[in-house]
Amino acid sequence: MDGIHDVGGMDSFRRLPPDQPDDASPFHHEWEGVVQALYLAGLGSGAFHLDRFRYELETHEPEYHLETPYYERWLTAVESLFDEAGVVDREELLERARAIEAGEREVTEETDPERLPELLEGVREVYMSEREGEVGKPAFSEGDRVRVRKEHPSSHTRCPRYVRGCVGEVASYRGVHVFPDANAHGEERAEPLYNVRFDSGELWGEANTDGDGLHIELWEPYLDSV
Amino acid sequence: MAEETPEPPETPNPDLRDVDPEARARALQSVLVEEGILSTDAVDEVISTYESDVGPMNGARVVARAWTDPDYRERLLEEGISAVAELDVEVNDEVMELRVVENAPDVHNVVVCTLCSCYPWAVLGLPPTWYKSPAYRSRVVDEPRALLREEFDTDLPDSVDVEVWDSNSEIRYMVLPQRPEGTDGLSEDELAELVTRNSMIGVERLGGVEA
Repeated sequence: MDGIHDVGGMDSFRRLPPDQPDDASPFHHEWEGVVQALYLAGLGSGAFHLDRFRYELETHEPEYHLETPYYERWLTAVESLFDEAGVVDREELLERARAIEAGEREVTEETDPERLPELLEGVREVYMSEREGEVGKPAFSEGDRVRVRKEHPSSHTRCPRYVRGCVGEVASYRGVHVFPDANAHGEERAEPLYNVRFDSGELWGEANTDGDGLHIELWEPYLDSV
Repeated sequence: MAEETPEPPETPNPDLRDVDPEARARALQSVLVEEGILSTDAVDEVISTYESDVGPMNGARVVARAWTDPDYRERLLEEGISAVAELDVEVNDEVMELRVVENAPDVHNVVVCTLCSCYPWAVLGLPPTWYKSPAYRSRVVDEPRALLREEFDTDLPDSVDVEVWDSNSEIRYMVLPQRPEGTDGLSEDELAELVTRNSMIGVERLGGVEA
């Protein structure tokens, strides 16, 4: 989808925020670490997967996306997905959050040393996007010139706007990987994946860039031969 | 041929967004603990892992080894994560495929994720705030030299090509910086101390440039 998340080449965001968090802690607040754990719990328990999570973040309104801190947006997405998976009820969650905020309710504590290793095993599977032995021969090989299809799906895609319509060269074949555009919407299928290099001038116009090349992974359905 | 567009998800209830995020995070944590999906010690361990075990020091050790052992360097460039696992470092489970791209006197590499915030957690830990910011993600793809100069004091001459890597798939990228000159007598541990997080993202440069 053509959302606010797809920012490559946009102007006027101005200066970078300060270099924080630092090596001492990757979190600004401890609850951000809790959100990281909730996210891993969602992936590891199979409540949702990575492409669905990304799509959920992308559906936030642009104003909310830009004005809300990173982990707070993650929390909003994780809540919705656990609700969608039937694990939590949004109304109950709201009630409980308000009670905790007001100091009227304690956080439930329970120890189970088996939990994390089991969750991490599930997380590992989610991140493993390569599917060996699926799909036939890749259509392109190293050195082929390819043009990115000019498609503007209103659903999830990992083909950013700035490469669409541009011609690049296949730098490497990466094997067959789960296709995010289908997977985000419940259909797991794998497609050949390529690393494609574009001349920066092809992407932006020679006068508008000071870079030389850009490499990006593109799935076969994004590409046409030139 | 227009493909059928799936129904977009429901708009989230704005009420939950009005509550303090800490209370929301603890509320969801509580429900998941009660459901047996999560445990208190699992949450604590996730936090402490990111705070003390995974971070740029792991990437720095990998780089220092690659500088001192040519065979290891070959394996690192070829196989990524399995070469990282050879060293006794805490490898984060989430990152399965790592590609290491090597700087040279006439090439400089820099890594970004324009669509979200993909980052090589296994070797660098969690990303700094600026890496996740629209300001970095929007500009590094079209004006990498200006961004590196203005934001990181990294001034690259025209003799050095700038190559940008947009990590939009589950393949993660890390830059292998050049070994700085005048470091011949240093041990691997001493070398690792020279390797900054930013040099492995590619917004800083170690080592010389082609004249």
